[in-house]
Amino acid sequence: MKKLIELKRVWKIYTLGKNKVYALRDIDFVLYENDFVAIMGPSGSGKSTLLHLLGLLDKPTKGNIFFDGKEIMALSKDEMAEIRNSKIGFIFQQFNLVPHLSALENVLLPVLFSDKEKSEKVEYAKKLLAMVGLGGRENHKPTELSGGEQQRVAIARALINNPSIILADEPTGNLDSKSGKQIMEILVDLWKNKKTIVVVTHDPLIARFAKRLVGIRDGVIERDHRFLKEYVWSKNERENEKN
Amino acid sequence: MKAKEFFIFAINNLKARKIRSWLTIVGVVIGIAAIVGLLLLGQGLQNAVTEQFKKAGVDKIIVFAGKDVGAFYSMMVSKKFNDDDVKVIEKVAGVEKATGMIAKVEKIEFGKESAYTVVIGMDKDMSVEDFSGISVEEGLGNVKSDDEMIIGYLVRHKDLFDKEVRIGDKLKIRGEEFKVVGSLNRIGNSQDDKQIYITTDAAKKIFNEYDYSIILVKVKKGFDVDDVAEEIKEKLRKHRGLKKEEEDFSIRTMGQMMETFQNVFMIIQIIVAGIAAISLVVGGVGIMNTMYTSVLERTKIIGTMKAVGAKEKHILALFLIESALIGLVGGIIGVLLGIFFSKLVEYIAIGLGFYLIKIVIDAKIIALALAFSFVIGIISGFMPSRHAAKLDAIEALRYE
Repeated sequence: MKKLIELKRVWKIYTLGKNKVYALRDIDFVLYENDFVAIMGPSGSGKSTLLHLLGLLDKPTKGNIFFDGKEIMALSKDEMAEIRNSKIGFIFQQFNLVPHLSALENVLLPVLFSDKEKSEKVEYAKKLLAMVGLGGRENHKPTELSGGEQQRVAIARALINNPSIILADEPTGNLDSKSGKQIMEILVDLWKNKKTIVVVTHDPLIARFAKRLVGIRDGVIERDHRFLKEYVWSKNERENEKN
Repeated sequence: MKAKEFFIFAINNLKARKIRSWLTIVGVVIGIAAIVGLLLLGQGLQNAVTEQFKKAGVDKIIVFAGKDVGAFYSMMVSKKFNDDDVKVIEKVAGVEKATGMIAKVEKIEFGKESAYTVVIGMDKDMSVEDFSGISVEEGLGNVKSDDEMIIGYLVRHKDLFDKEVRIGDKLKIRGEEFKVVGSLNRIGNSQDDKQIYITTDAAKKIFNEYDYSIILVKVKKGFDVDDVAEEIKEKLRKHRGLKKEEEDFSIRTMGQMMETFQNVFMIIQIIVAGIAAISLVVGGVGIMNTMYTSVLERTKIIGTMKAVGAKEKHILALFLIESALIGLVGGIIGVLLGIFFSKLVEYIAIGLGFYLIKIVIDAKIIALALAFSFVIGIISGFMPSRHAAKLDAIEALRYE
């Protein structure tokens, strides 16, 4: 499998006043092409920090990160922004849509910072909205959409520049389990369409949609294994969903 | 076109905060309207007065009795001029005509009515238009006989008197009767428009005064007015037996008077516009305040934009466009309001009989005001915009 992102002996240390917070300690991690990873861990474990480093939102304090074989320590802020714009799609727990823009305009937001014209992307944006089940609702404002629908707009936004990697930070954290399941099913479809997916979650049911589970605690990766079987929801879980 | 997309995005952001955007714009509008209005009014006044100077003629030299004390001649008249002085001046090369002038405020009787106004005694051979630049409305242009007079616009048209004065009517000054032979057009300032012109000889007789406090000189075509003025000064000094720099009279060309007036006026205008500009600074602080608030409100969105690939320059541009637009829209409305305000003052002034304001919409003032408002927007928006651009993406995303 082709390595997309590789972390080598990565440390992330925050200085808060006189205290040093070790968010990540000496981490080695490889994200492969068309991987589907769930990163799990309690709050403060460093899972979000790991996601931010994978998403090129930040640089490590120590160690090296290679993106497509490129050493990112040497990249400028602008070069990192360009990679985020073209190769990475972000999904957030609180959707982070621009409240006064329509669903369509929100999907097109990343195009503003690319070298593509917005007009070239309008049709594709509509297609993406249809794909996430929001066909015909292009002109709705975020306030006119449910949480699950807003997150689907956010997924379409993450896909607009056709990135290879989708990074999702607690994408179902603000949703009921039914909407959460719908979101995860969309992510599974994307994975089947050759996208690489990383989801940070503390919900084991959500993590079970992934193909590889990474457990993190106190800034250290505790476990990293692949699920052998396709996950089937138990009868209990189905009952829960109905309630 | 990326620039267009950025503009649309910024406009949408402003629209999303409609009330706050408009309130901020109002701050700029007031400042720009004040500057434009006051500058246009000042210029309107200057234009009208300059026009009057020009009408009076730039080929004129005025000799005042009294010492030269800088910008304006002294009103402390020491020794007036007599006919000999006038003759001396007339002999100077380049002088076409010199005429001593007697002016007095006098009671005028018209039928049963009476009113006070300025009576000017002037040379028989000189037309009023030549003398004062005011053109003739009806009748004759100069007074030929000692029992005739020419009257100003407001004397004729029911301003000085309740009844209209017609050509051929008779007015009395100190009991002497004068026949109206001509009337003048309106020049704009009510003092000049209320004047009455009679011959020098008639004035001497009725006022029992034979000296002049002013001699008006007309320069021949082809002669330099300043050179002639210098020559008059020299000859008159010698005639009056005075040393250099100790003249008891002063000489002004119309050009000089116009220049003095314009200089004084420019200083007044700069001061007035400067005071108005202070209100624009307040408008600028308003923009800064709004922009900081809006950066704070949109912290999470800024973080999101950075996550999806916005560079610092993109964020900077988005916010700067917003503040520049606030400035520019404020400028446009301010300019319109300023024009409206100055025109309103002009109409009110005309309504009150004050014709000395002629508002001319000056493209230079408007362009300057618009550029100024735009720059104010950029300057006030710069710090908040840079603050937004420099926000740490991860911290911004965490912001609640």
